Amino acid sequence: MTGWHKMPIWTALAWVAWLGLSVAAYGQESLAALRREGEIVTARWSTGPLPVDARAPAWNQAESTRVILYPQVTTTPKYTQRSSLTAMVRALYNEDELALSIEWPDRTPAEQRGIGRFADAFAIQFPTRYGPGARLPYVGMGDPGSPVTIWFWRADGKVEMLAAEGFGSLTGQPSEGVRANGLWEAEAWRVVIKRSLRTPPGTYSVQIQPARQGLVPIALAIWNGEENQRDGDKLLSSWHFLHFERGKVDPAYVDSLAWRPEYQGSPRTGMLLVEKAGCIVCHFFPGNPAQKKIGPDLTYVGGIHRPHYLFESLVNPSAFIVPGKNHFSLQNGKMVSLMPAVGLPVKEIHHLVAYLKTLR
Amino acid sequence: MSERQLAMVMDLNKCIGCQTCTMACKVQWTNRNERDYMYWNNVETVPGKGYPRAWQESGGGFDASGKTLNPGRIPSLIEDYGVPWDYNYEEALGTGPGGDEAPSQGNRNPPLQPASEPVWGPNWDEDTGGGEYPNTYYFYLPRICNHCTNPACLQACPRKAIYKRQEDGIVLIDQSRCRGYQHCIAACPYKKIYFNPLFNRSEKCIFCFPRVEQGLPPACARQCVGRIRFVGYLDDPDSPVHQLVAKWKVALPLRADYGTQPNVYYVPPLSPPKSNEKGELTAEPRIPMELLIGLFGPTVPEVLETLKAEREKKKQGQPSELMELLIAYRHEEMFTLQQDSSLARRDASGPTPSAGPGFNSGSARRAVKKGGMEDDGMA
Repeated sequence: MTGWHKMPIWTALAWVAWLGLSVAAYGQESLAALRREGEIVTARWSTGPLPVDARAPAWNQAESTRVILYPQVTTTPKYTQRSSLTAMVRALYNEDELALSIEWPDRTPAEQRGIGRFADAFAIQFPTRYGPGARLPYVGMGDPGSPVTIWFWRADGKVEMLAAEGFGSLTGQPSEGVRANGLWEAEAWRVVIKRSLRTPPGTYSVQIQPARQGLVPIALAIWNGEENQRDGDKLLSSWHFLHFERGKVDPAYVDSLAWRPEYQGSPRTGMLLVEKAGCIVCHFFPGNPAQKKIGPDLTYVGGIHRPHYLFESLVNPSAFIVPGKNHFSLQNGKMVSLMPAVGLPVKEIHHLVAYLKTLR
Repeated sequence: MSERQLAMVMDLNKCIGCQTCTMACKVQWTNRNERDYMYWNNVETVPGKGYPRAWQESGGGFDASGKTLNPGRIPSLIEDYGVPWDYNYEEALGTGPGGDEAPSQGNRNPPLQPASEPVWGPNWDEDTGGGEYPNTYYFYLPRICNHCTNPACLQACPRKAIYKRQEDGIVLIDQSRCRGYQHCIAACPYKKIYFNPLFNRSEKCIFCFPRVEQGLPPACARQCVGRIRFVGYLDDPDSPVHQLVAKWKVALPLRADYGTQPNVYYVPPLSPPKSNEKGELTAEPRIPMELLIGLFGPTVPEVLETLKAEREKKKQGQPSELMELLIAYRHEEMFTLQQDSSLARRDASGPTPSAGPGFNSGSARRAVKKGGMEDDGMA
């Protein structure tokens, strides 16, 4: 992440806010901000073994968080329909294990795979490395240098541990005892996926140690087999954060993740600025009369990307270039984004971010 | 594009539709592990819907630019490939439980029939043909993967699991990268990639690369009793493949309009003349020219003329280099598989013997081949 949000004014504001509340510990405000945005999935501490059965009463202890998944339209093959999906996510953990329960509506279960047939599937993605100083990987399959670890469940019974660092790079990994169990009932899937917290470190294996870092980024993906979805034809969420209720949250880390801008942007103003900013020349998004497809499709950009990412993409497009899309030119061996930085005052950038957040 | 390209030429004038190639392939590669429905090699009758059913109307390949994939469909197991069916042997032949009883007058065993009702299969429309009596016609079309120079399957795979070997242009699927998404199946206009439901991965004709690496031709070509198949490198001037494709230009790619630059070539079939109402022979061939042009491109008429002219020469007792090639007096001479560059070989041995009745005078080459044949268990 760039250091724009560490500007003195922000620090001052945060400090004032902190003093004002006078009760919250450093970092708590940021945690609250994440929670307000619906980005926190609370992992409840549980005594006793964690259930792999979706119907187990133990799940009643855990609070349910809505996570909305949006069509993947950045790379081919993409999701071709215009619909989002809401999943309910619950998490339990104990000293040894983490278990997540994910529930989403699906009228027709697709449990078989075959010639031209595809099964329903679910995946949860973690950055292989996270914590203070670690940049969040690109939400769509990570990026070179920032790998993601993926736990994958498919309705035909397949459970896998995978890793990726960019589109097309998904590669199987040792399972590390990832277990999953799906139950289709009353027009919904309920999938429980769990893994030991005591796995040895590995290049592509995520380490989850709530005592050391109680805030772990996660993103979800769901495929509807009935619609022949597989591969990039899927729905995905933006980065969310698993908060282990007895875990240690690093204040610097949570501060770096929370979006607490110095200006509150207005989506309406932002919408009026997309022409001035030049967005309409290259990007496709609903309401853009130009319908250009030079740059990435922005139709769901607000649902899939966090404001930090959007802000950075506007002010410093070359800071991160989506892998595999050729949206860059090489200058002195360095990848430079085809998109020029948006040369507008910071306030207007915030308006744009606010508008982009509504594209979902 | 690979550095070199292995290619196959099939002479459709010699194919008798015996399916020996199909069986050679099947016993080698696809008779186990849920591959039963797959025919990496199949022989279909033209005109007909072929296998998988209506593959030519199933999309895939490239648009006119040769770069953008056309949408394609994945064939259905039941309707397009055909479910490999079993017969009711036990019931019909009384070999099941209680089948020891001798057939008596009251024994009403059902007739021997498929245990499930099949609706399609490989070779389903065999010999159906087209045309009106007495001018009916058909010919056989053996098909394998075309190991295209511009493979649609390769471009369609988001995982880059499909690759084309530099040394011989064989197109293969890396089984460790494949995740069974089946985009390749939709993209291949020839529908020559198959999904294996057991391993959840796509599979295809591998041009018998383990045999090729031993200097042996693919099983389908080696077992062909009609000697219709030539195998060799396109850039090897000594290879009959090169001579038929590049020199004589009588071997043409199938449906080149799909834009994949296929590397299996076909010598188009001649056909007997049509007869008119009086029963007199006319000048028009029975197989409609448009049908052949649709399959093998606009040069079919010239190719057929060349074939006729050369055949006539041979009939008159004159030498014909082309007919010598196509007759293939010695089966092993249809295959030129040594992997060293033909250029290097020519440099070492002086000028290449010119093609002609003695086109097979490359004795060193023959020795290599012969060794290969013996390894193959051939006398």
